[in-house]
Amino acid sequence: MALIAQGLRRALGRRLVLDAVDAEIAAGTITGFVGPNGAGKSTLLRILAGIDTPDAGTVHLDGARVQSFTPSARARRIAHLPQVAQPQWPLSGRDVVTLGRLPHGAGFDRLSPADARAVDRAMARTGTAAFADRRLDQLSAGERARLMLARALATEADVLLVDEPTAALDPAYQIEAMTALRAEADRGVAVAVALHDLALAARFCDRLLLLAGGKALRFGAPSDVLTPAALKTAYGVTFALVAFEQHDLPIPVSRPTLAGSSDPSRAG
Amino acid sequence: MTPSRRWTWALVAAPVAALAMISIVVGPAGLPWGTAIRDILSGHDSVPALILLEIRLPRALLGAVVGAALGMAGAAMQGLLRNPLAEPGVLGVSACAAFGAVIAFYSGLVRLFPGALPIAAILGALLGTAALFAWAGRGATVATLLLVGVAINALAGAATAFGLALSPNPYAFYEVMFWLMGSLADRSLDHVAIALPCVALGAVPLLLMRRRLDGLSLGEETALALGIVPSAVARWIGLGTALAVGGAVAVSGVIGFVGLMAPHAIRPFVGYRPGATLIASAGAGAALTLAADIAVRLLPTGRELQLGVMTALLGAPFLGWLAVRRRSNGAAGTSWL
Repeated sequence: MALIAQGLRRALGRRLVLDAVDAEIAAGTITGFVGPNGAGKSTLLRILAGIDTPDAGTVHLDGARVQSFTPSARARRIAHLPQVAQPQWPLSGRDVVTLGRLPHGAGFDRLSPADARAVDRAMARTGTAAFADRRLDQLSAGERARLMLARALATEADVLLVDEPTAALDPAYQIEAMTALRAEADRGVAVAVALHDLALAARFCDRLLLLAGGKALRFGAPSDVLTPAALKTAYGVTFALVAFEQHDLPIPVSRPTLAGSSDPSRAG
Repeated sequence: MTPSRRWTWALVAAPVAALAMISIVVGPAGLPWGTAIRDILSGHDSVPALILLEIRLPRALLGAVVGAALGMAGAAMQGLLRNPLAEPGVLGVSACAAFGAVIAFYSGLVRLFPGALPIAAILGALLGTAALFAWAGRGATVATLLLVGVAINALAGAATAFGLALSPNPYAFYEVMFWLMGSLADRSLDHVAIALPCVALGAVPLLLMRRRLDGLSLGEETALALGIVPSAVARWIGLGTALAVGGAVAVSGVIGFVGLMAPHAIRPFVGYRPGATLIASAGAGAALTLAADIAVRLLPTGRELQLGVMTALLGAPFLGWLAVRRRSNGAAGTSWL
């Protein structure tokens, strides 16, 4: 089981956000999308999730075109967690997670025992069970971010696509969120996650896709992708590698010099 | 915590039933109740029976139907636009329906065919919702939405005034002016027969969208991820709102702010769930409209106050209060308002 994208191209206005990008997200693995701001990570996730349509290229889930699925069938198979949720109403924590069951035909007043169990599991896995009866507007940004992750887990889809899940979280919860994604992958889910934190990417991802300026620079194991040379090309910054356990964690060490400004994200 | 479904129903139904009873009891003429009810049951057309059946009952029924339509439409628009200030009156949908109704009056279509009145009002309301969604878009900020509402209100108002200026005689002009202000006085069961089917028909698409409105709680991006198509939801809600508001305005004129106040009043009781707010807000709208209509009859104003004037007197300060609360909460946006 895998989600496979081939030759994705997407232009927003005149800007080419994705240019001939291939990606493969295999069951039981975490694939990380890394790259500078504007590299196309979020757009790639949205196209993989089937909520944005590429100008060219295809996305297949187990050989079936994602664009040919009905919206709810697609949402049952592929869970997508956008970077920013915009909650308008102060729903209870449990209601927020319950929304993840909507693709299965559930509603707030119409939860099957299976739906209720999925909601309980998702809240347990994200450490949000304590927020079940709390109102969304009474929670911190980090607590809300964990509830949104629980919402995506509650769908119990085959594919889980997560955009920047750690951005609002302190280090303890960053590790907790990544551990939760790792656990999903270990259960056989195909997980893709856009990350800014390269150290987290090196530690938790099985494969990495390095994007810059809408192009896929490298795809492979973290140690093959996160080389100082590739990172310099992508980010325009010099990186050092710091050994930790069996990983090499990249640390940005210098700002780009004007002479060597070959930042492809600005070139495009 | 959210209360159980059964309690929500009681919360909705009990005040509406009580206020409808009070609405039937309140009136200028003292009614011999025993005689009236006995005569109605025996089919005897006595004066008390006629007062009860032809004057008091239609007024109470219309209060409930019109109020429910406005309350549900307000809740649906707030849920769809994810905007606490959305409401058919504030955003000009009611004014567009009134414009349609005025056209039907003056063109003489109403005399040819009584159904022309609600149809014209519904078409006007459809035009209003279409313009609203097209100009503001669904992700509009509060400011954009209100500006577009001001524009639509002004346009519909100007078009209506233009229609009035062409009025064939001063009496017709006077009549339509009062009708525009919104009232339930001197209505008959025929008016109920016009409004009720339109409102019931409009409620169908609105109620079918309840789960999708819940799915829109976290924004359109999350809704898309949940397999909801926001543009389709907008179309059904636009249609349902136009049917319900058009049907209501056709018989009552413009009664503003009910669709603004009712959802806000009821939301805490349904755990702020947008879908559940629909039915609850229909009840709150019915109760509010009945209460306001009782108040206009009891207030010693000499001449009876127009119902639309009464709801504006209550609703406009409420809108101001919402704005103040919003301002004091700042732009950080952690609060739900």
